[in-house]
Amino acid sequence: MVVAVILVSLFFFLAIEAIGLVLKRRQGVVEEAQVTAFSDIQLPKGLFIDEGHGWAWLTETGELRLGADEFLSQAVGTIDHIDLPAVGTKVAKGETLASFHCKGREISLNSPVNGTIVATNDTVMNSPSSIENDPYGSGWLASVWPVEHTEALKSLKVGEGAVAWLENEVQRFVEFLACKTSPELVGATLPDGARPVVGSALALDDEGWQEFRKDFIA
Amino acid sequence: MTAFLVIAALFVFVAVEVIRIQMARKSGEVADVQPVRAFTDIRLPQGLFLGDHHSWARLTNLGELKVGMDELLTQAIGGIDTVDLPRVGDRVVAGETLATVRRGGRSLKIASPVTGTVVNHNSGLERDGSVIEEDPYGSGWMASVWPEDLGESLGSYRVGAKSIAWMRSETQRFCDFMSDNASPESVGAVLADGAHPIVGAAQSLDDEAWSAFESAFTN
Repeated sequence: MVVAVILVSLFFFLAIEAIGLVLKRRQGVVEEAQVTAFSDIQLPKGLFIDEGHGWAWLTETGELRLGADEFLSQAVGTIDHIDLPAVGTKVAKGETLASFHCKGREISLNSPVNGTIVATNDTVMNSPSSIENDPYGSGWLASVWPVEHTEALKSLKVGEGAVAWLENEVQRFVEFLACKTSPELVGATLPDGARPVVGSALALDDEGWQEFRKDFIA
Repeated sequence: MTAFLVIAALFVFVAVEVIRIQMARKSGEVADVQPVRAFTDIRLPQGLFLGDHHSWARLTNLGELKVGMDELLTQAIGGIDTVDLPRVGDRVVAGETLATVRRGGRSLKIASPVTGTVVNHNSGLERDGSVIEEDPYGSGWMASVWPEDLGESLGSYRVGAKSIAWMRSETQRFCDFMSDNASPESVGAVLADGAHPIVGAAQSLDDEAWSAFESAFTN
């Protein structure tokens, strides 16, 4: 008898829980948004990067494929829309290659080389999230024929040096956030004090955002 | 009538000549003429890194370097029979021997373009190196090397237009070297037009000049 009562009540509780879940779903109650911290650096060692967080990969034919590194894509977290130059446009090192529109804010990625655009990535234009998911693969932005190869590549970082520099940039960003973030926002940017949260640059106030652009991406 | 006779006589002469050539071929008197080939135009891809030793490196996106020898050396010695490759796990040093290529009883040491550890090699070349002549920058690769300091290694390379200009000047230097070192009777066969060396030109050098060629172009 006791066993039967226990089983019935168990069943009863489970049924209530299930109904509750179904109701919640119907009402569109969303689970709490997940806070994701920056991942470990994944930069492939055969890519060149510059101090504006653009990367370049030398293809066999001598074209350079360009994109934004994982630091930039994780700092902003969400990219809604990308403006890219048309094929045939000349780009200059240190000047705008692409503009990212993120929740009403805008940030420019500078070209790491001088050259002429020979191709742009339609996929990334249609789904900018591929920059966040695969910054060094399907998230490439444009291919450029450089004015000159040898000196252009010498001015960029590659291999262990590039990885170490990027690790240092994450550390510099942690310190930047610690200074710029108001106490009530710390949970959204540096919950454990060690790794920034993905998208924390967008959590900054306007002044902080401008400083982020100037200190890290320009 | 005269015209007819002339045509008939012509036909007979041509027929006799054709039969004579056919018979000569069958009995092996007339060897198939080996065409004299001049160096091809430079077809170095612009995405390769080229050092001073006529060996090239291609950077994979993982950071490994695939290395091989360039077309100037391959054409200078007239192709490759076999190659002695480094073992996987060997350490190679930039400027020191990466591989030894053999052609017609002679050998040439190819210097590594980079310092690092060999992680793979193209073992097919040990039996048959002809693929290097067919595709020097692709399937003729020699080894994959994990570099010790990629940034420093790449700092001394040429890429793109600069590599191609350098290859051009090296081809001219090879012409000049042959003019200075080839014996008088072989000079004509070596430099058809003074600008394009003949494929295999270095094979006409005597042993002393061959050594001079090796140290002038692979060190």
